[in-house]
Amino acid sequence: MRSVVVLLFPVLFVVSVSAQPKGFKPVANVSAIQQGLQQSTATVQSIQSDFTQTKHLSLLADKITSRGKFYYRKEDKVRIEYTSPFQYLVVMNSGQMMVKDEQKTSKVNTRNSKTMQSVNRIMLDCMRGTVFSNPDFKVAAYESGANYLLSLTPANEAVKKLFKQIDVYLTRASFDVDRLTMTEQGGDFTDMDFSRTQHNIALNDALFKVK
Amino acid sequence: MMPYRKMSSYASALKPHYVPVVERKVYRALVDGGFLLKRFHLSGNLLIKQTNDSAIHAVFQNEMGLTFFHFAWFPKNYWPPQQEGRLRRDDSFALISVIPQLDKPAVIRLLHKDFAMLLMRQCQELNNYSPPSVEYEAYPCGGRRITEMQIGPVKGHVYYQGKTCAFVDTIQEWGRRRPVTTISFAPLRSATALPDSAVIRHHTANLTIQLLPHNATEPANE
Repeated sequence: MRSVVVLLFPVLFVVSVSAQPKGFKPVANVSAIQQGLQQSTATVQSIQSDFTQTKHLSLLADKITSRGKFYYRKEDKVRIEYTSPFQYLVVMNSGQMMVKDEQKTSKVNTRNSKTMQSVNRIMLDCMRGTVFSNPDFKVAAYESGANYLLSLTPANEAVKKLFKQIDVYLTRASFDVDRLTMTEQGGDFTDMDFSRTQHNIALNDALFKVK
Repeated sequence: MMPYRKMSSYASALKPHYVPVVERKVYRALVDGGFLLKRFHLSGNLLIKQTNDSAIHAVFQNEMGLTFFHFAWFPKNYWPPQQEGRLRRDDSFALISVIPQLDKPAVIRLLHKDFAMLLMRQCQELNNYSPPSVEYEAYPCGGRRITEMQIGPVKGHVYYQGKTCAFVDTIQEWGRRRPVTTISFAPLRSATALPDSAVIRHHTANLTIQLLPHNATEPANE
């Protein structure tokens, strides 16, 4: 959950309430998920995982795939490193964001943008296990045999313009994020699938340096 | 005013001419520009693809998958039902989607022109015996060939330049006295191929677009 939430920053917004997702049913006891999230959050100091991102373009019946590594360290440090087929880096640390592509490194102060603040807020809420109380999103919870699904619909107008919905798939056992799906207003969507997730690895400060 | 002097018409050297056949091409796109005192830099992936209905689509999205813009060109006399109500231009150009920050008429016009020159949507008949839908003339000039054309949304003349008309390496839009846009690219693999990389420089607007090779190897179709 924490890893998924931090990914929301560069993507920026949008979620809408969806019909019941296939294979899932509404959660009877939402407070049990909230408690599970909070307990899980309390014990995890850092996360490291691989990810595969697939952008689905519905009108073109096409997709673009990329891969990389994700790092998180409590309380507010995130590193998203794309390694294939291009090099691209996003680092977030204490409200500052650095983006580095093949040619340029840019720094952004997320506190200067209400939209970025909104996404920053949901990230922190997920870190603390308080996502359900975030006023910028409506959260609907579903469950299947193996997963929980949190469907986030933006209540914030700025976020609504970019995204229709953000779906977060968590494993029931550990509340680790399996998949994050961001759906745009036009119907195109991006899946981020996480694998080889490790908790509480010692992560060097240099990984999160915003230069 | 013709920018190239001492040229004479050489129509017989015109064919074959560079006219890209689009199937699927992905670029790494880097955009640098500025307006007044503000500078900006965008990066992402640009996908150009022909779909089953013979439409050409150009989609620019950031690395995280957010779509910056989506343009399309539909075949003549065909306007898909889902595009009803959208603004349609002479060359069947449609703006499918654009983020609010780029949704400015001047920006859309500029990008529309750039793609019109690069993709030559109105020039598909150039290498056939039937008359093409664009006016053109070809000239030899200093060991190179230059073709002068009018391309739909472009107000001035467009000059396609290269060692031959088939292997173009520069596309230039001229205003009354000076170049407005220059598109330069690495040697083409064939006269029907899009370039592997290109740089689009706008001389009157502070904007440069670099299209670099995208090294994706996975199959793309769903």
